[in-house]
Amino acid sequence: MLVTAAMLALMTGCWDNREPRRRAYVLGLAIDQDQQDPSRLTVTIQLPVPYTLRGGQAGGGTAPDYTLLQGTGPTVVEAMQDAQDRISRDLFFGQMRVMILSSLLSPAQLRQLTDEIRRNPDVEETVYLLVARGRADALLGQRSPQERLPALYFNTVFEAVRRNTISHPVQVWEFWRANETPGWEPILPVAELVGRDQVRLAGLAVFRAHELRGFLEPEEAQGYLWLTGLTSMRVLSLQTERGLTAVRSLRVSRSVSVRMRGARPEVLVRLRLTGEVALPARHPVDKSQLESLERAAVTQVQRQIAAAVRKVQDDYESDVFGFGKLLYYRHPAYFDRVRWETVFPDIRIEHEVEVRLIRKGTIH
Amino acid sequence: MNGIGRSDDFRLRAFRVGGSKGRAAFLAYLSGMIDDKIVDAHILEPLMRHGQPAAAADRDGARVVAESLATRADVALKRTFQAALGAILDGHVALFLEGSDRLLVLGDPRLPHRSIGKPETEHSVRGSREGFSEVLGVNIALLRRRLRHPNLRIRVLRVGEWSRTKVAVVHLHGLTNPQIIRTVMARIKALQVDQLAESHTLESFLRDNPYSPFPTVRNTERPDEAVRQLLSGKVLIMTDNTPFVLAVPTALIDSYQTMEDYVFGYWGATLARVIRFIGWWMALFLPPLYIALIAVNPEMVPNELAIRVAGAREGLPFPPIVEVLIIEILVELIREAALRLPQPLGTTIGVVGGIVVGEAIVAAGLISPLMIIFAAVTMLASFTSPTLEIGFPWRLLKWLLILLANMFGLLGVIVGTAVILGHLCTLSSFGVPYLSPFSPLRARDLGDTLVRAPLFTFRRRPAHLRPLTTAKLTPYRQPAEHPDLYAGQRRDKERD
Repeated sequence: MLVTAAMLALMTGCWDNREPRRRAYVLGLAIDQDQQDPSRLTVTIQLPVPYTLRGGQAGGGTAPDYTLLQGTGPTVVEAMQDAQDRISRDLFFGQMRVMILSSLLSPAQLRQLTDEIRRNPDVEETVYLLVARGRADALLGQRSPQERLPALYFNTVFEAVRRNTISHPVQVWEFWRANETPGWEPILPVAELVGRDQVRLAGLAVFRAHELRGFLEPEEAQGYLWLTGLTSMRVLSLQTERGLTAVRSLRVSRSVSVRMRGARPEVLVRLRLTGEVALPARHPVDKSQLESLERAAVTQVQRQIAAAVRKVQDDYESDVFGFGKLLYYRHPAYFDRVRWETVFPDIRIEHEVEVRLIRKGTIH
Repeated sequence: MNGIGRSDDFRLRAFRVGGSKGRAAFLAYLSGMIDDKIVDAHILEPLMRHGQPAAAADRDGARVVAESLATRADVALKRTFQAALGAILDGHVALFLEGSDRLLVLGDPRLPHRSIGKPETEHSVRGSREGFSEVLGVNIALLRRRLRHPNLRIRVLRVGEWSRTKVAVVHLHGLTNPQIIRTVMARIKALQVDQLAESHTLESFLRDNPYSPFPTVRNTERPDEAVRQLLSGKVLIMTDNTPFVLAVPTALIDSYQTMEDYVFGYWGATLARVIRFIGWWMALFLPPLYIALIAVNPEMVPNELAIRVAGAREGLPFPPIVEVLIIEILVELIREAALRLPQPLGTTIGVVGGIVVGEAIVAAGLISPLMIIFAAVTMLASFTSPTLEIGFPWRLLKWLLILLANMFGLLGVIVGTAVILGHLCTLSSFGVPYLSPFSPLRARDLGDTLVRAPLFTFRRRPAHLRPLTTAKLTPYRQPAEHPDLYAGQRRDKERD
């Protein structure tokens, strides 16, 4: 009896020992401005309903797989506490996969938010960050036909086709890294609701000092991804003199050189795309057609890059490429002397693109 | 007789050597321990019918009997009464001859014994089917039959104030490190104990670290395994009345090597070793990890699994630690019951205990089905260790890890593992580090640990036992030379 009592006393556990039935797993979190009072924040939390997600029986029931929980407050911490007050179990952030920020948040709110994420030890640094055009809570409530839990939709998208979407997945630590590094500003992927029941990843959001500067539309986003070497498998539709064709890039190798020309920094990016013919104008593909395809692809990639560079430099004035960081490595004295955000919009960014098609598109 | 006192199985047979006018003599023996027929045919008959020379030889009577009359191989002349008494207690026949200054001991023990059976604790699919029996002499013969070498040396000691059990210390002269032999002898000689019931009694006195749960003495009931141990430079300790032979020094890895590994090809043996390693890992870590990952650190589990587990645990009355406690105690109960029951009932217990109780406990909603899976896998895994003894410490330490996991989660499991590892590092067996050849690392000996390298790569004996000769195999061409199948045809062609 005594032994049992001693064991039970030891076994009650302390610290973080909580049974699963006392925890509520937060899978996704959306942060919006409050609809009544824009100075307040609303958090929307997606929780699975454990009863319906039991193994074996595959859905089909009428019970929902998840619930949404909301909380509001002047700060994100208080909003979380408000949400906690509305539920019987402990909110557990260790399983959170995605965090969606509304594009309407003010820079102050955004700053406060990233600070809170950073201080919360439960939030993993591998959580995906997203920006929603407009309100974020709608995205979290959007069921997709494949995934039973909306938050896992983004998780699957980002993990299945890493580097192949137009949208580059960014995890919390990557966001911080760019945010904290002098001469580097973060980007986040953008998601939006399309029609009634589809969520689409569309373009990128450009930040500067916790401020959402604006969006890169798909074409520009592609240019950004080329220039930073973050994408490889993309299809380019090309209009050539022989008709409409398409090539698919397979590998991108990139070299960046940042140097000082006189008193001004200059960037030269060399891109080398290796690709294949996805849709030729005429079969078989001969050498002249291959060369014209390569030329057309070069033009297209250059056009996309130029669009991205123009938007980022002229409109957003935010060095999302991280060229400032590279310059700091080479010329720290110069970098320390100037304010990079004022210099960046005026630097020269050159790019050379080379395309090699290694497969002609076999028919089988 | 005053040495033996009154004991009803003690017999004296008085007679006269060399006919009715001959010299008076008597035989002394214990009735159940000798073979009457042999005494009749080889002692009484020759002495009574043809005993005149012995009767004539005055003081040398006993020597004459030994030389020319007793047609037995095992005879010895003794001077003292004490020596004769010891021999009688061992089942010999003592011949007392009137007027002789010696007495003759005729070896004729017909001790009760069973025939040589299969080893019960160490099964083998392809290896030898012989196991040691309870009689020391038979066991030594089993060894001798496998090692027909003059350097196989056997020293017999007596241990036990009351039992006076024979203990044989076996080594290979010129191979086994003499320091080990010396230490073994010294430790056995220093032992004063009532009775040596089993070799385990000896084992517990031979250890360097008597309080550790880990076995630092390996036992085996297979003669072929014993020979393998001898040849790696160990000392064997064979105890009378038990089929279990001890081998020292013993490292941890010895408990995971079996004879079976050397009768199969190295791919198969390596696979078995790896499976055993996985089994060890699962038996020790599955229950603690279950608790740590479910209750304390659910963030370490993949998303879908965490949700699935949470769903499965919904509505269960007990926290994971109580669940593990219930199921592990149940498993131990089944194990113990199956062991105690007579053989035919054992399987019934397995079915009733395992299937019925397991099924019912899940159906009653007391324990999650996941836990049953874990318990079953853990139990299976815990039986993959080839020697019985090595299973106990891990079963014990599993509880330590379970407790730590419940209190501190994964961190507790890691710290607990580090503590266990630290303990293992401090252990030794007759001065040999317990974790060798891993720590201290002897890269050359790693071929016979987690993997079992081909036999032709075992050129040297394991170095940690410090054998006197390390060479085991001279370089041998692999593969051996092919026959020249076309030699004849070539010759024909040349002739044409």
